Amino acid sequence: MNQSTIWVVDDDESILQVISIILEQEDLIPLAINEPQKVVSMLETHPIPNLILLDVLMSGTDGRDISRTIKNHHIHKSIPIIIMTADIQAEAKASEAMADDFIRKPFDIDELVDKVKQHLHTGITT
Amino acid sequence: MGKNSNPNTYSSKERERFKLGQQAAQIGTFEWDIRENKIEWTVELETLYGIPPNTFSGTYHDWIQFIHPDDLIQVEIQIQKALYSKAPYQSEFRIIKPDGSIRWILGKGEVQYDKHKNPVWMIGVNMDITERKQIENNMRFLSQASKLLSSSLDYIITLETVAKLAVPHIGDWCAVDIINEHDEVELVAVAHSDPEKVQWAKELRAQYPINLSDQHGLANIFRTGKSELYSVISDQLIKNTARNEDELRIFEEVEFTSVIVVPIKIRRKTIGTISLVATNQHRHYDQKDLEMAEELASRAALAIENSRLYKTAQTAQKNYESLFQGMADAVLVVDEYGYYLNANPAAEKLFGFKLKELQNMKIGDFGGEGSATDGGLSTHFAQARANGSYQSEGVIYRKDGLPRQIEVHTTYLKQDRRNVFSSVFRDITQRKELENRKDEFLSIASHELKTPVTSIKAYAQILRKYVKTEERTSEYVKNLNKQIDKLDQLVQDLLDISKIQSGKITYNEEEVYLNETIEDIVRDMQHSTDTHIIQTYYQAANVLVQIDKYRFSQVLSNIISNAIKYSPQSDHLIVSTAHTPKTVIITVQDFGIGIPAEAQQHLFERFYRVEGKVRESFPGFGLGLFIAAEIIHRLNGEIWVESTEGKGSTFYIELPVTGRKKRKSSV
Repeated sequence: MNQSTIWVVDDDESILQVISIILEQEDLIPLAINEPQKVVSMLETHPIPNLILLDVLMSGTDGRDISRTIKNHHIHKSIPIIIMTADIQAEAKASEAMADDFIRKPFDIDELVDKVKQHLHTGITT
Repeated sequence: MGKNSNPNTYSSKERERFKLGQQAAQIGTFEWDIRENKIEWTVELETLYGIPPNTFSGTYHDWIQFIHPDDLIQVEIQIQKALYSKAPYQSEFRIIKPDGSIRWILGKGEVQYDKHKNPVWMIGVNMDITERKQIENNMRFLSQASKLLSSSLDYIITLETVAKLAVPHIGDWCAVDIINEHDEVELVAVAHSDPEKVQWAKELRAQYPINLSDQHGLANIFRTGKSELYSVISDQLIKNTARNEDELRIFEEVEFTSVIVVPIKIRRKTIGTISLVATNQHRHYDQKDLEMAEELASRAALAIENSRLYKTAQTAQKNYESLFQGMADAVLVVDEYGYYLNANPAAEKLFGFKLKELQNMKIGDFGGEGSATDGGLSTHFAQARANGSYQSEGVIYRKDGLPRQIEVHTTYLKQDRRNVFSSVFRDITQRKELENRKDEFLSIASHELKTPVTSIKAYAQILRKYVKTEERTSEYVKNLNKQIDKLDQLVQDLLDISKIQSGKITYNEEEVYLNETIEDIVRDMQHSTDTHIIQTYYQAANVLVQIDKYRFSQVLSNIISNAIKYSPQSDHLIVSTAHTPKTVIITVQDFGIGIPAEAQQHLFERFYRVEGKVRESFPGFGLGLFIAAEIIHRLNGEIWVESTEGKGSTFYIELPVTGRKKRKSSV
C-alpha cells in the first residue's frame, strides 16, 4: 500500500496532535486542519486525501455540514469520511452527516487505526 | 242580676242558663242607673275584675278605678259618645285586677232614654279578651319582625332590632345567642327597656360564657334542638339551672317569672337560640307564646342562612376577583364564538394588549402579522370544547410583535346562559430558553470534557504502543499534564456550579489590600500568556476590601483569560482600579472582538454562550461569567460589562471598601 494522506479536521490542537502522532506511527501522512471552514475549498487546491477524519462539534462550524457538502460533490463524494464525536448518538450523527463511519471520543488507538485502515482498503478496492 | 228596677224579666231557668253561658265565655253583665249613678255587676263580672262576689261598691267612679291609666281617657270618650250620640257603646281597654295582673276587656253597652231623650240606663257586657289581644300582639310582632329580618343582609344588626322590638310587648328581656365561627356561643343581641341592664347582661355573659357541654340552660337546647317553655319559674328550677352561687344570686336578682327558649335551626342543626324572659309576675308564657317564638326562630333562621349564603357568595366572588387580578398567570375568558370577554392584568402584560383592545379580538389574532397560523389556538379551543378541557403549547405574538412561547390550559365551562372558555396562559419562553440552553450545555459539556480525555487516553496509548525514546516520552508526558490541567479546570467549573446551585459554596472572607491582590493575580496570568501584555493602572489607593482571596482570584483570572481569548488580534489589555466614595471599581479592558448588544444582558446567566458569527474558536462551558457574578454578588459587589462589537469589551467589578473600619478604630 502506498502512503495514504489523511486529513484530520478538529478545532482542538491536542486532538490534532495525538491523531497525527498515531497516523505517522502507522506510516500514514496526516494533514492537521484546525480551521474546519477551509476544508471544502482546500479540496479544490490540494491533492485529494485518501480519507478524512472529521470532528462534529467544532466552534463556529458543524462537522456534519462539511461532510454533507463533500458527500454531495460529484467527485469528492468518494472520499471516505469518518466522523469523530463525543455524542452517545454517534451513529445517528454519522448518518446525518452522510459519513462512511464514526468513531467515539475518547477512542482506542487500535480502533482508530483499524477503522482508518479498513476504509482506506475499501476506498481503494471500489 | 240586679235586685230591682230591672226593666227586663226572665224566668229563673233562663237566668241560670244565662249565668252558665257568661261563666263559660268569661262574660259579665252590668246595669247602670245613670240618674242615680248606681251600677250593678253580676257575680261573673266581679270575677272578671278579680273581686269577691257582691263586693263591687257600685258607682261610675268605682268602676273606672280598675281601668289602666293609659286607656282611661279613651274609655270615657266612648262612654260620653254613647250617652249623647245614641250610638251603641263599645271599647277595648285594660283593667288592673287587685292582684296587680292586667287583663284586656271588651266593653259593649246600650243606652235607654226617657221621653226628653235624656240617658237613663245603660245595659251592657264586659268580656275578657286578653287571650285574643295576646295573639294579636304576637302576630303584630311577628309580622314586624319578619319585615325587619328580610330587610338587611347583616343579620346581627337585624337580630338586635328584632330583640328590641320584642321588648316590652313580648317580654321584658329578649336575647339571641348564635354559635360563631369559633364554635362558641355568642350573645349577639340582648334587649331590655333599661340600657344599663343590657350592658349588665353582656358583661355577665362575658364573665360566664356558655359551655356547650353543660347539662342545663342554653347548652341543653343547643344539644337537643328542642324548645323549652317555663310558664312559671320555680325556685327549684332556678337552683337547678344556676351553674354556681354567683349565677344563682343573679337569677334571683333578675326575678324571672316566665321563660321561653327556642332553637334557631338551619337544616336541623341548632345554630342559635332566642330567649324571651318575663319578669312581671303576672305574665306567664303559654303554648301560644311558644308557637309565636318558634315561628320567629324559624324566620330568623331563614334570614341568617340567607345572610350567610350571601356572605359566602360575596367572599367567593371577592376571592375569585383578587385571585384573577393578582395571579401571575395570564387568564382570558373567551366566549363561544372565540371572542375575548375578560382578561386579567397578567394577560394584558403577556399579550401587550389592554383589556378593551382584547375585547375586540378573537382567539386567532395572536398568530402574528400576516401569519397563516394562530399559534395553534383554534385547534386548542376546538379540543377544549370537545374534551371539556385541554392543554397545549404554542407560540403567540404580542402586540409589539415579540413571539412568546406559551403553555395554555383551557376549561370549557357550560353555564346557564352561555358557554365560555377559561384559559390560563403561562409564558414559558424563558423556561424553554433555559431548557434549550441546558440541552446545549450538556452537549457542549460532554464535548468539552471528552476532548482532553481523548487526548489523555491517546497519549497514554501512544506511550505504551509506539514510544521508545526518552526524549519523546518527556514531551508527551508534558502534553498529558496540560490536558489533565484543562480537564481539572472544567471539572472545577462544574463543581462550582453545582455548589452554587445547592448553596454550598463556602467563602473564607478576609480583609486584604486590593491593589496587592490584583498585582499577584496579574503576575500569574502574565506567566500563562505570551501573546498579550497585561498593563495595570492603580488610580485608587491601596484600599482594604473584604473578600475571599481564592474566589476573587478565580473571578479576575477568568475575566482576564476571557479578555486574552477574545482579543486574538490585539497584544495587550488593561487592568485598572478607580474610587467612588464608598466603593472601588476594578476594570479589565480588552481590544478584541467585543460582545453583541443583545448578548451583553445575558452574559452573566447560566449556560449562556454568545452565539453568532463572532463566536470563533473559543471553547468552554459558558459557566465562567455566571460563576463570577455569583461570587461577586456574594461579596456584596456588582459586575457588569460595556462592549462594542469589533472594538473590545470592558468588564467592571465594584466592591465595597472596608478600609474605613481601620480609620475608625484608630480615632
